Amino acid sequence: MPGDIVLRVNDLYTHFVTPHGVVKAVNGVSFAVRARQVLGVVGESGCGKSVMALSLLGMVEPPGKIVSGEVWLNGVNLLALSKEQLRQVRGKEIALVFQDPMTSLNPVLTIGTQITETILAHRAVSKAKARQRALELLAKVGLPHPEKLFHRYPFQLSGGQRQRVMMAIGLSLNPKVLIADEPTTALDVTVQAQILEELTRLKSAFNTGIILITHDLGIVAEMADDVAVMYAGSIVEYGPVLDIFENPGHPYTVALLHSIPRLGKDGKVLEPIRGQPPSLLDLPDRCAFRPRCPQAGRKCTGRKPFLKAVAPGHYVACHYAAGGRPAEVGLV
Amino acid sequence: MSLLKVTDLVKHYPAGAGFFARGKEKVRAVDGVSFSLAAGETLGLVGESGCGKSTLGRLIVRLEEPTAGRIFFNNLDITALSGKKLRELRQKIQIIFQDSYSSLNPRRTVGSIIGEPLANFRIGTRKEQRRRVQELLEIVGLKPEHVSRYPHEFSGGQRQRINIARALALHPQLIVCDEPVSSLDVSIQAQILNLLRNLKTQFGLSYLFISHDLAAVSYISERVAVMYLGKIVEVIRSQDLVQKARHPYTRALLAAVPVADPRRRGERKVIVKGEPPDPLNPPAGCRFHPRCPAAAEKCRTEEPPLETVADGHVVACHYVKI
Amino acid sequence: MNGGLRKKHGFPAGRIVREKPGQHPESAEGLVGPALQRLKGDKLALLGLAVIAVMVAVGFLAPYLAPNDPEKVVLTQKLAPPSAAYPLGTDHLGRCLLSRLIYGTRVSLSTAAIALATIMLISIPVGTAAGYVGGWVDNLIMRIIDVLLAFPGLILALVIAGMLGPGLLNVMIAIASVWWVGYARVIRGIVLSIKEKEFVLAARSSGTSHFGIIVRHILPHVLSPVIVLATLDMGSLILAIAGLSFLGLGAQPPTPEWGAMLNDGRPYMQVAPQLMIYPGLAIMTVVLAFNLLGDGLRDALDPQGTLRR
Repeated sequence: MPGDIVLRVNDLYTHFVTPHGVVKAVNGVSFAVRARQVLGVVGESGCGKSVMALSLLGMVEPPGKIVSGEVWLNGVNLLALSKEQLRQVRGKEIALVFQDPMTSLNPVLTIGTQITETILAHRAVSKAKARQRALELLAKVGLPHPEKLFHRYPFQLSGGQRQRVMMAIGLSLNPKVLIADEPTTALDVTVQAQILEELTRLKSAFNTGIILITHDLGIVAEMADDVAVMYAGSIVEYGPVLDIFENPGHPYTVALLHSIPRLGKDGKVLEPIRGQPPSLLDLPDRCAFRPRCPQAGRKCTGRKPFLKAVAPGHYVACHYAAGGRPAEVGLV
Repeated sequence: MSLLKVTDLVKHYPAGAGFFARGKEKVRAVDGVSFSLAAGETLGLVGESGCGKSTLGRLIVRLEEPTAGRIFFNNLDITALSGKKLRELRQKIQIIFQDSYSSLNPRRTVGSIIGEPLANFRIGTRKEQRRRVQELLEIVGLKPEHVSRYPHEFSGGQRQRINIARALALHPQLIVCDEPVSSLDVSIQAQILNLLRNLKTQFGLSYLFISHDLAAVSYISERVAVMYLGKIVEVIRSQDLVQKARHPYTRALLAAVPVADPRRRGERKVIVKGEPPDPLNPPAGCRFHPRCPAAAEKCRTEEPPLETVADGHVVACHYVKI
Repeated sequence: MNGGLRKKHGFPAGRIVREKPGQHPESAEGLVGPALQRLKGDKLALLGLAVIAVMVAVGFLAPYLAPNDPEKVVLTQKLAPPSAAYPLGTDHLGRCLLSRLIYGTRVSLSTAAIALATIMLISIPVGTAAGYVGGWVDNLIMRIIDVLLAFPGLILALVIAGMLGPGLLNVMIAIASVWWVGYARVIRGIVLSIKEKEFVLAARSSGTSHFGIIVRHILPHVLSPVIVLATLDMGSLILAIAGLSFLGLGAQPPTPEWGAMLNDGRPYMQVAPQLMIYPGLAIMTVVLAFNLLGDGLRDALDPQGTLRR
């Protein structure tokens, strides 16, 4: 049962100015996350989903720049904070778990040191308290023998264990929002299943809202309450998970669902989406999916379509979507 | 008649390279694998990372030397072929790799990459080779004028098409596809899977399709072989996979794959805990027993052989026999 | 750090840029054109290149540029100050200092170039053999290299040059026989990494011969890092040759060579410091120029910094 809204993103734009032109990685994104809710963000590589995640934490590196937008967390607009203030919020209120835990963990520090340091950096507690909390966390993310792991180095752990440690660090300060960017992509399916189960358990235990970024529609179907489908830097469809899978409104979502192989449906021939995802370089103000869209019509040469409601809580950005009013900024 | 037949194939690597490490421990990448592949068939090979499926593929293409066992191709023992005879074999068996970036030499044009096998075997004049390259480009869905471009000018999916064109150049009978779609975008994976399917019927190809993705494997294959720690634990027809798979590991894999249907949420269950053990010293008895929910005393000591349980369905497990 | 972040998060700009010719890391080492484009923006490297070009031209045109015969002794004019006839003055034997410097350019550069070519001729086949063939061949070669690397290079060269006797040719032999080791090791490393690349495996499985694989698929990838290394190394090579000549092992009188000129001028350091200053400046300029160019080439050809030592 999702609770109150903990994070609200309004009209976020992140652009990269390169010698070849402006890369519009995030191009007007709005959504909200509730406590204990999983928002699934799906999209293909280069659709801007990862840059979006970094933008939420103000971690975009030059030549990238957050051009405009608001990220409201706890009544504070993160994007209006100074670097130092942001650093305080990061990890404590909003945390990020990456795809590759090996590169996000410091190879020369023990697991225990890394967790306690995170706690000590934000909380005025004694070292012993921090250590105790770290051990608790390791147990909470489902790692056996926390005392033993405490003194190990990242390379002595398996991929799944490292990802659990990352989750422990991410949750160490009980953040309101946890962003998980492809957290299981580098893992085997049997390990992935364990990690996903852990995430589900943890969101209730920690009362955390989770933004789960993935390219895998299966994971979204299993995990998400709401789904945002991203294409070329924009959310093209947003809605409750059942609506997205059973009543998709955007041609891209429809095509995506037809293009994935499913177990036990061997007779069905896949219908691939023709062409390639577009370059985000100098994106025109037009529907970015138009060149690949089987339903593209005359209207699609016009300006970029905005999200509009097709059902309660279900929004589609398509000129031909059946539906009414344009969505309010901030949705939900 | 089987096109490819592999019996008791073994590949051990010395653990840790170097002068002094030799002969100590070995990684049992492939540890006694037998299967056969009929002409015109696609056999899928699934397993998690480190189970030896890629090594098995490379052994069959003879890029690696097996430690023991035999490989038969068209009833000919190719295990120890070398020199000229091995080069002849190269025309018949080709391979496509996962990483479409590193499998194309960045310094050579597409034309020279696809034409290399033709030049190697002096097939036709230069002009004929060039025409054949253009024809191949069209077959895989690229444009003939792409011949003079360089690999970096293409996207991942297009590069994989170039790899496929090169593999097709010599009219092979068997193509080993080593995770050919795993690094591609979701919307592009289906393009390549369908291309491979069409090429198969068009040219009467056979595939050994290696992947960690059960859904992709069952989509493209007639039969699926499941590998765990260097061994095949089950071979089953694709259409029976979901309903009739018996080996606890296969069942665990099936249960772990997320289903793209929110109504079936919760059907996914974590059947196995932990991660596959180190192939450096695999467990005694059945290799899956430390993670198996059904493991009993016998599993710890005795290694189960592959046994036929139904037509076209073999399983290596003590407790699933009829 | 920036690059790492981009890779990790599937930074979209990276993806876009990758589609542009010449921006993909592999194509950066793969195609010379874009690398030269990048070099064009590097002013220091271009300065280095210009200085080297001038030096080479001076060496070639020495007979036309030198005002006097560099070996002609005019004892009445010894240690003369600069004049119209002798723009930089004369040395202790009354030879024209400028002419000797100009001819010295020719000797010093060509000696270094020949030594470098010899080093390549040894190190490329040896390094490639070690990396490609592997097994006992690799083991044998690497152990020889280890032994050679256990000695300080210059001292070993000194010993060899001493044993062979003085002379420019012997200095080149001495230097090459020590210097190839480092290159062979680097080349072996590159070959080892390229050998495992899928495009090499694909070539093997399409029936390409070992020779074809080495020539078409491996050596082209060895080339650009080796060019970078060689350019960076040219400076120390020139220094080493000058050093051995300074010790009297290299160029023999009356051959004008910068190192030998330094040695010749040494007794007169107090009265005529220019005898040492000018050849010293010449050595410094050319070494600096090669280092600048080398740094620029490294940035242009090897943007990932695999060669940083």
